[in-house]
Amino acid sequence: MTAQPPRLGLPRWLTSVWTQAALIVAIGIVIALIPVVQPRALNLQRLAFFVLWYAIMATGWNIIGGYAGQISFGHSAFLGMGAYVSGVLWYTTKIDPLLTLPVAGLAAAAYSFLVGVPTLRLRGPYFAIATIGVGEASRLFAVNFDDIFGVTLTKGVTGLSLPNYDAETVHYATAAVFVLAMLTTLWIRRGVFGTGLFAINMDRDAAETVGVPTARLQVLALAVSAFFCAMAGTLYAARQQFLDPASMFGFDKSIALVLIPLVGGLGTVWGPVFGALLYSAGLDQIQSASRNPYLPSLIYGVLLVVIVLFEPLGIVGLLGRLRAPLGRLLRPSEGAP
Amino acid sequence: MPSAAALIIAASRTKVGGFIMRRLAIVALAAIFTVAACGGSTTPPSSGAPGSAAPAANVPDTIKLGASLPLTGADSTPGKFMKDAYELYIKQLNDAGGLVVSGKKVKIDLRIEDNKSDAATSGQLIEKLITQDNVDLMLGGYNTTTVAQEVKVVNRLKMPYVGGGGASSSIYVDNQWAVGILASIEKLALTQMEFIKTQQDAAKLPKPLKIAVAYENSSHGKEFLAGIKQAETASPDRFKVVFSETFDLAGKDYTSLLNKVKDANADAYMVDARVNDYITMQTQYKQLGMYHLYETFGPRGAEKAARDALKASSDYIVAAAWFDSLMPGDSVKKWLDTIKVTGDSPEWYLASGWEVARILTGAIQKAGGVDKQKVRDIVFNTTWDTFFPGGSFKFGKNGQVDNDYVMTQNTPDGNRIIIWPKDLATGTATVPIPKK
Amino acid sequence: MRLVEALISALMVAGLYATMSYGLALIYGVRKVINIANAGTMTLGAFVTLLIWQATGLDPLLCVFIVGPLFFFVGALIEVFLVRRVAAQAPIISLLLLFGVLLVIQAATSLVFGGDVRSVRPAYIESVVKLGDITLAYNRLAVFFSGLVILVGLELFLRNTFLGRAIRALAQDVEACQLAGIDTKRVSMIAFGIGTALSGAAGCLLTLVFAFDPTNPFGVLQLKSFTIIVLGGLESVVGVAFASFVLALAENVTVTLWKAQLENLVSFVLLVVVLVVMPGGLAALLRRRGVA
Repeated sequence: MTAQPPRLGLPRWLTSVWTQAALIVAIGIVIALIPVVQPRALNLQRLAFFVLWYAIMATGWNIIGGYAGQISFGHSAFLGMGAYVSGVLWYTTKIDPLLTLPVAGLAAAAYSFLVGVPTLRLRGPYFAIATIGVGEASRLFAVNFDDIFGVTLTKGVTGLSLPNYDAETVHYATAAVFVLAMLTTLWIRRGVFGTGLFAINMDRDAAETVGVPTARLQVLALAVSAFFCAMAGTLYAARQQFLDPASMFGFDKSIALVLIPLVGGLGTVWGPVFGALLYSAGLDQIQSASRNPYLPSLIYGVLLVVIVLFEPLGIVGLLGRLRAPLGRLLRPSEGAP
Repeated sequence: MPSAAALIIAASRTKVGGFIMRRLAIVALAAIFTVAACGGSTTPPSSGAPGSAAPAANVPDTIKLGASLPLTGADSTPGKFMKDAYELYIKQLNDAGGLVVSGKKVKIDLRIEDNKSDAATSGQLIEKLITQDNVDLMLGGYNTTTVAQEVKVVNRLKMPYVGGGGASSSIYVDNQWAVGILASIEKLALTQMEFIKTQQDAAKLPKPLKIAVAYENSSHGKEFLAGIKQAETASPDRFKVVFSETFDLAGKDYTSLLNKVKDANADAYMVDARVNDYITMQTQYKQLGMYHLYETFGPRGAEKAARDALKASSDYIVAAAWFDSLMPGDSVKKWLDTIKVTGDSPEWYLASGWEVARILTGAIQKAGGVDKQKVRDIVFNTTWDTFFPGGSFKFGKNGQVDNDYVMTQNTPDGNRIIIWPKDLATGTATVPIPKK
Repeated sequence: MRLVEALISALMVAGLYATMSYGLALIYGVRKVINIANAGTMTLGAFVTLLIWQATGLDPLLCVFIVGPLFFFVGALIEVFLVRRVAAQAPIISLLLLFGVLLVIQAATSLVFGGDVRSVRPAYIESVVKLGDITLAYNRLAVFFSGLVILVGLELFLRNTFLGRAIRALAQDVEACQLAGIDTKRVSMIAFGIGTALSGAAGCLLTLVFAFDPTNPFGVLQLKSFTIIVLGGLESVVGVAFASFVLALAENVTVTLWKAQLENLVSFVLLVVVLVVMPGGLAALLRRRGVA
């Protein structure tokens, strides 16, 4: 590390991996405390759950889409996989759904391996298109699973009504999974793994020439990514207690997972979190105020176009631009000539 | 807490293509959360003991009712009908000064959200209506899958819910808080089978009747088939299902499916489909020159949108629905007069929404307020009068009613007649359908 | 017999599939990006047709001649003001940009027209032609022939005009085109315009066959058109026509021999399999045999 003049007068240790990790854990604890401190704040709990839920999935997506630059339009396949693995296990064997979090994650990771090994050889747009196929085929499998195999597991389009479950327990679990996801993405971003993924992102051929095991890294990144999306699926199943293929495997969920990190800041650690905050809490309030479900998606579309044209790093990039003038504002003496 | 502040400032910097200001982001994060949570950060404590001495004291000045409806997307047509019904009913109450609760006139504030015909969205909207907008009670939504998700949420949050848009009995499993005024889809099919029996006895249809069933790939469709199969098992001498296949919603080409139906050589063709699929399929059915002695599209045959699109191609189609505006009786006529201002055709959705609003506001009056437990008990334990077939609603333990269906048949003059039940019939059914 | 009918039914559907996918192939050729906004312009095309039909009663088939030129300009504008600006970056950036355009178009259409199901039903909607035992509906025949006419027209244009040759050349080698003095920017703009006009025309034709709302059935058709151009080898117009037929046939045979509900599953499984097994698509297969 070259010596960089500490800006805003902050010592460099504050930006270290450890401080970042501590911050993540602190945020996790604060959010986890909501039901304890404010047991009646059901609205805050609702908002917190859905922000974290999207943040977990978007963080997962960002590992393959942002770090490695392989844009996937089919991540709902993993979300749905996780939700249905836990849901089906829950109502058939009565296993507590939160105990099946790792099972769902691993199942989706295995599934991602199955689809990833062949499709990740494809580049850019080809991969994106292939993932659309994977996502939609997964949804249609979930719809027709029972009829194809002559069993009653997914209950097709009817949807799966699950037993009642305590929402507060899910809240704690969600905070925990969020911390895990953030620590993982931070660790990958700052480590050798992340460096390899970024090398692939910039130039896959060059990376290969200098000995980066591109195929292996990408498949691994997709598996990690699928793992977190599937855990989010389990959390959803436990909290909402109802699953249907259109909601869980829906193309709109895949789209949300592309939009959130893009608007937040593609390939950054915190971008997916900002994106989720805007997507889930921000647009939720816009919809409430306007009572029009299409205004949010119009705003999001425009945002996407603007971001792609002018600020590829999304919210994180915009905040970065604000840095200099804001710094002068905060410490006028520094900015003074 | 200076240490916590230091931590936040510390964390507000990381390396992403250089140093980036984090502090602002965290402030923004906190701000969005605060703003979002302000809307209704705490739910009101559930009101006092039931049956308290001075009920008028418990009556709020306004009562908030909420609903999440499919105003756009696949179910937007029924969604709009239910919205119009809810809004008109509440508007009438408010125009008269409000709902009279324990001698006090209370304004009703109705809040309707659009769930885009998506079940998961609807579940989240309902939760938002309850936790953020603090609605007192819920009016129901539309579509089996969506209502099933909604019923899960209201049970978790212990919120009374009166619905008129989900008929599948699978919705009401493990249910304590929701009721629905639509009888099950199995019963819809069984009613048609009962009607067919009378036609067989009059030697108008053969015995056994060979039936081809095509049903949409949804719980609605599956229960339709289940009802027909149930009748087949009960009377194998009368019914024989020779073909049954399901198709995806929003299909585009049914030619291959219809060709298979043709090969099945059935006497009757029974379909369960949504309105747009019904229009597409029946158009192709006529193009292929197909004919059956008896044809039905579940509850859709009588709907105006399809009748307008298909015109003569939908003649003689039989429909079974929960309500029909041709039903005799003063209360139906009065209702038809009232709803004229909406400009809507008087479909069953409109009637269902109307009755739902009437029952819920009636329960508020009886409960003398909006205490959730009390309203719930009253909804469940009262026998509600109605202009639906049967004259009254009595919710079963699971929250669903078991009322009869009314069957209609389209006539060549562009109208339709009620053909079942016998006491409501306004004409004689043309069975078998005349071959052109 | 039923299989013969499935074959003919597939031909009819293929006309629509091909019309909505030609544009994708043209645009991919010059910009190397899959125009994900295709479904959006198709939706707009269908609604513009609805408006024209309601206002004047003009046959949807004739609406093609209004919608086509109109959408040529829409496409050209999208190219000049949006796609061109990110042309130097990775193709995925253009894809995301066009994806934003799709979201905007769909949300705007929903805001303006609401979510109701619409249909356009000219008088001949139930008329049929009988060929022995086989019944052919007028509307489907019309769609099929439109697809065929567009194919022939496009091929003639691409092979026999300077502009057409320039589009084909650009698809093969940008630098060589620049060296040869072709105004690549202008050619890209025109190709994008034609591609968008074709998707608008597909929207017109679609109103003849389906009832529609702002999201249905455009979403499913969009995904199918991706399958088609991948299957068709991305840049070849003939490949697209051929792939459309293959997909429609696969769907119809599945319904006839197996289950109607698996119709859509076929196309997505086919998409993934084709991408993985033969990324060059059918065109590569045909080329190898010296056909195209």
